Amino acid sequence: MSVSFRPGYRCVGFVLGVCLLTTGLMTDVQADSSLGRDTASTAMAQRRDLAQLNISLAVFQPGIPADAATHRAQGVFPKIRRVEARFLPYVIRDTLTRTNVWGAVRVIPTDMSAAELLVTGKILHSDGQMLKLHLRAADALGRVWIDADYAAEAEVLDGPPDTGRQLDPFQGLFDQFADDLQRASAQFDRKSLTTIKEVAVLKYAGNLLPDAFGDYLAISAEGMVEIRRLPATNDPMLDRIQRIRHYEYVFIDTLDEQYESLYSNIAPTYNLWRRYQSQLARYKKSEEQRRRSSKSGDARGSYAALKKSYENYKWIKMEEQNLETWATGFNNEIAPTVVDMEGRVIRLEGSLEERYTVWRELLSSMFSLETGMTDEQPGR
Amino acid sequence: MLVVMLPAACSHQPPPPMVEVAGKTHMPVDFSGSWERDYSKGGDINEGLKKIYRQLSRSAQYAGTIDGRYQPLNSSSVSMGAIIASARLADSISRSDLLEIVQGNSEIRVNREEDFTLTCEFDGSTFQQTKTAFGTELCGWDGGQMVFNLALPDGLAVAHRLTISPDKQELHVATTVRAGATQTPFSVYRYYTRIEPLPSKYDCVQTLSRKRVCTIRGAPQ
Repeated sequence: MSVSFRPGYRCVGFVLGVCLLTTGLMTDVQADSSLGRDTASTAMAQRRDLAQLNISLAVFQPGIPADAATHRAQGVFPKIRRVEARFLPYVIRDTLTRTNVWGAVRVIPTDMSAAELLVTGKILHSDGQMLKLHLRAADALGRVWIDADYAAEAEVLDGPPDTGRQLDPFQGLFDQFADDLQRASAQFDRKSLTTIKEVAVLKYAGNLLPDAFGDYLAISAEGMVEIRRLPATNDPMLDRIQRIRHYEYVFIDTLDEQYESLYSNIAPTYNLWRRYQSQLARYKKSEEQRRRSSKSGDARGSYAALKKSYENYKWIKMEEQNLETWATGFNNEIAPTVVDMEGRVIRLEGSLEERYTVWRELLSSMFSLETGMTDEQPGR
Repeated sequence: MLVVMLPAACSHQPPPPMVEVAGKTHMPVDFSGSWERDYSKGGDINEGLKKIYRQLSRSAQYAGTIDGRYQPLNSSSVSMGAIIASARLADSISRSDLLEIVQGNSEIRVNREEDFTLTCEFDGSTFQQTKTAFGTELCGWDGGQMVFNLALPDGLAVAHRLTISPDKQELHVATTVRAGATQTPFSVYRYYTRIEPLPSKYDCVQTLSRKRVCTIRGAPQ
């Protein structure tokens, strides 16, 4: 299935570039840091404040062991892990969005922006029966909200696997993370949350135009980002940067759509894969318990006892090897979708990078014009 | 009685001489290809059992003369029973009529009918060991022979030893089973000849939800 771009996004950079050149980027986008005056309960106020905080979910690290020789023994299928690394953040994104607590929650390919709250993760284990992730959430100031391992056993895998966006068998894990994130936010008051947003904007501005905004932030002895000074509320350059940031969000939302598309397209196949994995994992577990706890009724050394011993091993081996075949089938089946999505993401990232280059040059030129500073001046 | 109990078309013969190999590399011999069982070769499992039975009988009679008492032959029936069980198992797990061997630079895979694929990955060392809660596998090269050993927690051990003839047209597989308290090994030997499979009329691709999907070769997609 192909996913087409919204026509409007294709020329965003071009339009913006033209705007920058012809209109001087008249600021019509308001800074989104203005918080409504809330007189309701503290909880309601907190909820409302959080709704202003945007979350960026980076694609996970797949957690593939470097030694390829260990993959089979550990049940790691690298190609599938890479797909999971893109798939699972989207499940968290859906979970966080459903809480209606946060602002925009977006999946991004890498830490490509000055995120207000960035969630990163690594897959530690995934076999259909057990999922173990390392999840970390840190705000723009560098404060770590969560840095922990999450593990859960599959809850339900008996439903039809081809029903699309069914509840994830590890939904409990994602719900737990969502709860923890909300709980972690309770330690921050409105002012703190506002500061996070301000720092995120200044980090973004510093990245885009270091000459103008490079010295607004400083790193404390504890490694935390601190605001050294704030720009004027009517700083035209900041307005321009806010506007560019707005367009970046449009791009990221387009990237996010690619991940959503991937999620929707591969969910049935991925759930089928997890079901097969889960069945094998469950059988292995019960076979281990059986071997430990019970004795065969057949006389030791008899043909029946030997045959049973060999057949049990044979069954496990054949199932493991079937799983490899299914892994190949999974890869073959989703490859067109993944390749298509990767191509789109790369194109989008590439076009965004190109636009950044143009924006940086334009902003730098404008800054020089407005301040009367040129490249020939000493100290520049 | 043993003759009635056991399959008739099996053999118990000494293994053929090891194939000469020039130097020891990761892959000293290329086994890859399709192999079909050659029923004209390979003797009778019962012969092997008879031989063991005679040996045990002689041992029992010899023991009787030392004690000065009569030792009935069935004093060795426990170990003989275990050997018969091993022989039956060896026969049953070496019945594959076709073998498909895929060999690359770092791995060999022996696909068998109705049994799991024997696999061995190489990382430079002579033997590779894989240990799980269900058993321990050891595989590697012994000269020009490929060896797959399996040891199960209850004492059952199965070994396969593959040898190829100098002209590369014949494959010999020795399967040895050890079990029970005596651990007396019993081996069966199978011979395979190289075959060239007919070219497939189909292009197939493995999928997960639709299993194996095939199209007629050359047909428009």
